[in-house]
Amino acid sequence: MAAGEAFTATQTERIQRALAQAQSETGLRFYLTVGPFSSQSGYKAEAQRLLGVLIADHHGGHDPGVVLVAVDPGNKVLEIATSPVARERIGDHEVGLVVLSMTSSFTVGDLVGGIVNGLRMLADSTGAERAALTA
Amino acid sequence: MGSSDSLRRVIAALAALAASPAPVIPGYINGTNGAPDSLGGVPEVLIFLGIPAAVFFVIGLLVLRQRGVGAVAYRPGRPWGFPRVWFGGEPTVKDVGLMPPPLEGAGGASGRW
Repeated sequence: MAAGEAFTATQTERIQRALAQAQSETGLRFYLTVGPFSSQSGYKAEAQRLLGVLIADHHGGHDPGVVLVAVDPGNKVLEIATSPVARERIGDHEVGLVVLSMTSSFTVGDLVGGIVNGLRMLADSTGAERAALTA
Repeated sequence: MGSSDSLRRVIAALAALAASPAPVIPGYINGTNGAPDSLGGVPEVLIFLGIPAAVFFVIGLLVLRQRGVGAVAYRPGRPWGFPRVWFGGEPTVKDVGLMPPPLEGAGGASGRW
C-alpha cells in the first residue's frame, strides 16, 4: 500500500484492523481515504461522487451498503458519505456524532486515533439489517 | 607520670579522630596532602568523561527513537505533504471531472476542525 509515507507500518496496521473489524461487525463496506480533496470546494459532492465510483468499481454497481470516510488533514475537512443502503442502517444524525468525535481528536493532532475510534463508533452506531429487523 | 602522659596522648588522638573523620577514610590515609590516590589517566577519563558521555548518548538515542516512532505526527494547521492514500480499496477514476454525479440518496455528515 502506498500508505508507507503518510503512516508508519504500525499506524497502517491499526487502521486496517479497525476497518476490517467495522466491516465484519456490520456487514457494510468501509472505505477510508486520507489526503487532499481534488476540489477546494464541494467536499460533500466529491465524497458522494467517490462513493458512486467505489460502488461501480468494487461492487458492480450494486449498493451493498458502503461508507466512505474521507479525511483531508491539510484543509482540515472530514467527510463521511453513506450509500442509500448504508444510510438506512446508520442515519445522518449518528454519522454527525461520529464526525464530532473524530474532529475532536484531529484538533489535538491525533489523526490515527481519531480515525480508529471513528470507525469503531460507526460500527457501534450501525443498526441491524432490515432483514434481521423484520425476522 | 609516664602513664598519665600516654593517657593524655590517647585522649588527644581520639579527640582528633572525632573532630575529623577524614583520616579514618582509607583513601585519605595513603594519599598525599589528604587527597586520595590518583586513579591514573585512562580510568579517570573513562569515569569522568566516558560515563557522562554514555549517559548523554543513551538519553539522546531514546529521544530520537521516540520521535521516530511517532513518525509523521500530524500538526493541525500544518500542510499535509502526502498524496491521497486509500484503505479498503481504491476507485479507478480519481479525476473529479470524470466521475459520475453525486450518488442519489446518499447521506452522511461533514465537519471541520
